[in-house]
Amino acid sequence: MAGEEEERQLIRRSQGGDLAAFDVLVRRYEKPVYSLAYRLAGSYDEASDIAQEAFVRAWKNLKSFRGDASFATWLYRIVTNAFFDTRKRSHARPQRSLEEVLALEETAVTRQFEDTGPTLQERAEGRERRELLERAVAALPESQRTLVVLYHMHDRSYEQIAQILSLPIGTVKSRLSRARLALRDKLAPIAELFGASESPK
Amino acid sequence: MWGWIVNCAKVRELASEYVEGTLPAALERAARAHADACPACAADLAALRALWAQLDTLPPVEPPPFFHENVMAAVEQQARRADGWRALLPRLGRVALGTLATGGALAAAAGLLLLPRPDQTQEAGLGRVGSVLPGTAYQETTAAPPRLQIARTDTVDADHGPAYQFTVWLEEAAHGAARFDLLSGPALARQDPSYRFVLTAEQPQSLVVPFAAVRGDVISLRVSWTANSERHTKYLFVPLPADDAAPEVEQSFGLPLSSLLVAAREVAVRYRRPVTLEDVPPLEKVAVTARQETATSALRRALAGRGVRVSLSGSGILVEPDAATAAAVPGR
Repeated sequence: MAGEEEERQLIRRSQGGDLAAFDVLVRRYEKPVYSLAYRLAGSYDEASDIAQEAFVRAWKNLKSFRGDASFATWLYRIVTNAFFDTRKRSHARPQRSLEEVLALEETAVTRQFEDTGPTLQERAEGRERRELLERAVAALPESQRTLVVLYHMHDRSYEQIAQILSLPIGTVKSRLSRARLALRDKLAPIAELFGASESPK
Repeated sequence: MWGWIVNCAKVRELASEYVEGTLPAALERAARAHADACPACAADLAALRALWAQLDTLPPVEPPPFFHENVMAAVEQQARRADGWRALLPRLGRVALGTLATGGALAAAAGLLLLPRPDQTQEAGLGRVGSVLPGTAYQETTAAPPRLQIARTDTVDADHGPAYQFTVWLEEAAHGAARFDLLSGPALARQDPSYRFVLTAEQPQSLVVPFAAVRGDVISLRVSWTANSERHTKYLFVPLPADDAAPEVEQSFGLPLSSLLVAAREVAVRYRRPVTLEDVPPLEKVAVTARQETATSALRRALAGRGVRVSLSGSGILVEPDAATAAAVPGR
């Protein structure tokens, strides 16, 4: 793959101290990294701090990247660690309840959905559904949310998540399973929005 | 209840794998049989399946404006801290690097023959390092700071008619990267109104901006570039030729701009002179009012005492930090 070879070269150059090459890598991964940080932290400000910290750590530790895992997996691991570290630092912060998330994140959540859905009706429904889902995900306990975000929003496999979080695969699977059930239970009162009454797709 | 392996609790335990389709066949059969007979479990599984499909469609989140710039500034600070000892070494002169030029890249450059080219990279005593793996050969220590040169020529875009072609190349650096953000007007060929170039010393890159694609009467470009661990930003405000310009059309900017940028743009529009801002910090409360004077003197007057120098450069006006007074400007 030309893209993979190009990436390997960029990584090699970055490891040699070439900031221009690293600039290209940052460009390539800033969107998924920022997205991941946002889904984990739940706020734009925190996401910016975490994502930036992750790239700085990646630069500092680039020499330790040997290509055993993919660069994305390696980077995601740094992002989740940066996230856990900021959480440790602000240890007193309580877990947010769904209601708080609803109240606090109204503007943050709606900001991203301005151009979706073809008709007004569909757009409104799709938007409502997504917002509810986002809030429910944001209200999951950290350990579950991390898994849901990595698996469903960043398309990581069980193996990759196990590498990113240094967990046994079995733990990843069972925790994810619990997280999905928790989500479903949270969303049960509004199941019809999710088309649960229709036949399975 | 149906079957002896699988009850409601067991269905709950297996639900995730069931929806995913990774259960062993026998367990899956048992779970399905239970769900067929148990409406509550069937509804639960359907809800989970629907949730799964929805989770997979949540869109990614866009980083905020200037996120990239902030990240690279932090990384460069880190790099400078780690490499502080390098400044103590004697200057070794420039080590020119081989470029990554390929047949395709040469073909791309063929259209640029009429444009000014940078001087051939000069070689120092160490000679040319021929490696095409810059990771192994990157050891530049340059005497002069890197420069980004931008030349503009009139051209015609095949699809959109008359256009300006901006050609960009590096001097005093072997590698770099530049990003062009077209601040006014819609994106050209792509959805994304920014254009990224990986730069090498010997490989000019170009961006064609058709007039038709620009709203208003001025092309506003932000050029962020990096080379040799340095980072710079230029703003270009280039008035369109009078005949093709739509006069008095309100311009819409895609990014929040400081008042200096607004003022520079005003000058470009009002005096029909290109204005370039180079690494100038955003200054608040800059307004340029028209008097009986030239664009250059108007800008000089508006910016007096703010640590910047206004000079004529080619056909345009260049605004850049003034070393003599730069220390007085906060944040630099």
